[in-house]
Amino acid sequence: MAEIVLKNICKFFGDVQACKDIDMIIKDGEFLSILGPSGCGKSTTMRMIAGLETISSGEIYIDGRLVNDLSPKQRNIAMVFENYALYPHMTVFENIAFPLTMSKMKHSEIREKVNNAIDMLRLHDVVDSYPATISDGQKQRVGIGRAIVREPDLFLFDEPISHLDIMLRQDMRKEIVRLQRELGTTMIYVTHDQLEALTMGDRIAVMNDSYLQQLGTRSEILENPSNTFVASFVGEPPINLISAEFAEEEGNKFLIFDELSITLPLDENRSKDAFARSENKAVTIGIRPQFSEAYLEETEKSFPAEVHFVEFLDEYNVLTVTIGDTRLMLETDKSFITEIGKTIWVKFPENKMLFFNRENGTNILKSA
Amino acid sequence: MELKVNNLHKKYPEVEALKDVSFKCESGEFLVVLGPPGAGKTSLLKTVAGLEEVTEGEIYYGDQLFTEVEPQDRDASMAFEGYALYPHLTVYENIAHPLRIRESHKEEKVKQLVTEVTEMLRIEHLWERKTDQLSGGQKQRVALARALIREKPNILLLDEPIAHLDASLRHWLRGELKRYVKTKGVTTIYSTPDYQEALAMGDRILVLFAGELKQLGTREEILYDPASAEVAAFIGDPPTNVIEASLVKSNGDVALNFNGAQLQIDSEWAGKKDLYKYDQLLLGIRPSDIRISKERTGNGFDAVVYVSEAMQRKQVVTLQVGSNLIRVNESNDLKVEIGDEVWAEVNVSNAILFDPDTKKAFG
Repeated sequence: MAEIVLKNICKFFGDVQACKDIDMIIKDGEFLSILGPSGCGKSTTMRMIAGLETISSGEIYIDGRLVNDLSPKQRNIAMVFENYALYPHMTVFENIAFPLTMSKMKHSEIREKVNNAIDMLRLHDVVDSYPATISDGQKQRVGIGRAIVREPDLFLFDEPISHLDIMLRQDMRKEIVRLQRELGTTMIYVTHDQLEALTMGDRIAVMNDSYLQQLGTRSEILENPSNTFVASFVGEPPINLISAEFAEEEGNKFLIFDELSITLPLDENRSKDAFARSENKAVTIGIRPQFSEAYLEETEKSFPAEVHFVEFLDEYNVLTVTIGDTRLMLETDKSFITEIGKTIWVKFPENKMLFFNRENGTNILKSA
Repeated sequence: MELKVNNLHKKYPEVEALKDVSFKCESGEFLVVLGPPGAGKTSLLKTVAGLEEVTEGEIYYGDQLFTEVEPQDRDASMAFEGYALYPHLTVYENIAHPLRIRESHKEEKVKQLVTEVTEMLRIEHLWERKTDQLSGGQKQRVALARALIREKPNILLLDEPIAHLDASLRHWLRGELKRYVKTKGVTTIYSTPDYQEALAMGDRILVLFAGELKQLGTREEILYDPASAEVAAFIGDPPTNVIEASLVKSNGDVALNFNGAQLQIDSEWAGKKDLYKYDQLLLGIRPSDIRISKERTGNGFDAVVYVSEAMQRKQVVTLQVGSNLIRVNESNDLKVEIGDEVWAEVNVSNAILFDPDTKKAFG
């Protein structure tokens, strides 16, 4: 068990800066997902924690101990990668036992620890099998088993399931969460898959362009993203981002969507607060498809849009609609029946709108 | 024109990729081939394209026996994984290439078509680049643009064409791509391992498993009336729970047993489904047809919470019953912890039953 602290971590590869001023505290026993597109610096961050990369500047503490100059071994960390690198000439049991046989542990103790791991990972049926004869999902479990038996202070998982097929990924997602909860060991889990990051992590660190963009719980990331990058990288279907201007006339405040030819009066204090904090009044409005409302007939504060595409999914439908040249996505109940070419009425609930500074993309209500 | 595939077999030295696959794809239809990796999706598309020879069987395009026609004369437009771009040409010239060799257009028209397709795929800013300056996702979109640009090929074959893109762009492209292709009216076969993409895009969906066609139907048929246990266990996030159960009959009452759990079955329903002739069967229960409660209410079983995962709109709770793991869709308001003992109430009348040997649905 361990608390991890990163202070102003930077990493240069020659002239290229892979990590810029990363600050985070990962709590003891926490499951932290690090999410970002390829090249954002997430794997480099993990590798510095593991001791596989040197730190250009800044400090990393594991349970209060400065580890900058400690070797990977001295940090008592177990890593699991996409490539599980099992020994082909060893059985599943021997592969899992391998890290322990290297130490001077008693045979009976090794057997007990390995059997525990096998129980936890439900590998009973393949204990005596060789890697070549087991499935990819089982191989990854063996890789994880090898990490568990060492009883590390910290697990580092780097895209461990991204190469598996959809079914296996669903399966492994829950196995890894269950395992981490059962063991209570601090976990850092790197992925580019927003669904994995959101479903698995107690908190999620979103990275882009070598910077930590936001660190928060699932609902903080979804409902109150720091900026337009986080808003659009997380959530499915993708968030709608639309340019707008704040305006004021005779004491009444409005939001004008030029490209949609729509003016909405602002009633709520939250929006008025965003108005007050917005310097140049040019904003980007974010509205998630599940909060955008669709009606068959005109209703208060709604505006007409043409149905461009209908996706029939199992639990809800996703409509793409057009207003002028702008496309928006809305989630609707299965009972909302419409078709391509029809006009429907769309409403953005004011209390669900996110307000971003149009120039730098920051969330106006969050940054202040 | 319609495409007809009759008793198609494709054998490689190590593996039989397609086993007796027969179907018709109607003129102008957008047919999605859905299946896990290794199901035979690419082999199917490649044999239609003529990039692979068939081992046995025929492919007809209208009255023309396609299997006797040289690949270049089939006039198929296609995008496959690793389907090479021309390294000495710019992105623009790569995309315009099929127009130049297959169709004759004024340069103005070529530019208009390239503009349309590159705007849709959000690569219009890359026109002047050489292909070695592109990321994997960009290359995939250039290859896709090159396949899409033709005005009217005989057939369009797209093999997982948006697999490498970000979730958000992939979602946008489902609609854009389908509309673009439907406007041209080209008969299209499109493969994906993603059931949501298949449901969203396919006029009909063909489900392949281990080289066998398991179902060909509309999205409603695939969702609500799966033809086999494999299909049911593949569709949905999480998919339908498929459980081996035994049938216990006494005095006309029927129950389904699995791992000590017992579900009572309405005897009229059992009769209608012709259940009595089975001792064993595969029971399909959708994650939304189970409710978790603390009290034993209704028809259900005792279970232990294995784990719970919070999703954007719901949580997925996995329950353990003996060696079975059963997944349940629940609202995020329900609070459960690993190890909690709970009651799982099942809406048995929505259960789907499958033959344990053939795995086909019955009743």
